[in-house]
Amino acid sequence: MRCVYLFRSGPGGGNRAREAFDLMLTLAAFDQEIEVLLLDDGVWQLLPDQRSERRGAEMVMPPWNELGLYGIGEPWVETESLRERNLESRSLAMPVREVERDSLAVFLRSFDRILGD
Amino acid sequence: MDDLETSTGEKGFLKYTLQVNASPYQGEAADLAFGFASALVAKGHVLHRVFFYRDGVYHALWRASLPPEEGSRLMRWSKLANERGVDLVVCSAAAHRRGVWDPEEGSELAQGFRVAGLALLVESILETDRYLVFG
Repeated sequence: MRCVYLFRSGPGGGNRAREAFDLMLTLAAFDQEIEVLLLDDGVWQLLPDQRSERRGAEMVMPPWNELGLYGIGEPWVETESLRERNLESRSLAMPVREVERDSLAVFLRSFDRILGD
Repeated sequence: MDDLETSTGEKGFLKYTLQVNASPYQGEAADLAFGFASALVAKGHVLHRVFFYRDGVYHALWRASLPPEEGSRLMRWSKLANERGVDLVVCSAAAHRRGVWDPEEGSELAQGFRVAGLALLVESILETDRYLVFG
């Protein structure tokens, strides 16, 4: 089954993304074809060198660099979400693929299941 | 809808998995989830499983007691399970994290709830026709 996992909350959103990530990895363990899409504040997840201990918080970010271990490809990132936050894909912590907002509906329709954080 | 092929074997009727991420106390998502669950059962669809994840696990606290004006927002799930045989599952990891359930000692949960891992949710997502997330 083709599944897409949407991450829309930033690293300041507590353990939201972390718990979503756990579910995604369980899904991957069932040999499903999974793509990751970061949009809205979710794009902040991939900013390099984030150190939550500076604001006294425990590190609860998902281990994004382990996606490959679970057979999940480079994340998709919505171009406009980056642009609206003055970010560029090449400044992120890992290689990503971009998808434009206008193409999102078609993109999402190609999946059997849509999940989110 | 009439010619839709479904896992229930009956035309037009669908098998659902619902995931409730929201706590019973904040926002509308938990109310919406219950309204949706009741409506689909009333229409004759099959509610295969309700999986309580994230803050949704607070639904299973058996000692929670609400003032009468806040009505039945906890008991109503137990009632649904009892009357319709709906499988109410609380995520073990999320419940452990929040002190709702202890893997060593076990914990009493509200009536109709049981504890299981994320694998059970994934199985439901893959088996049923529709999967909806609340909160």
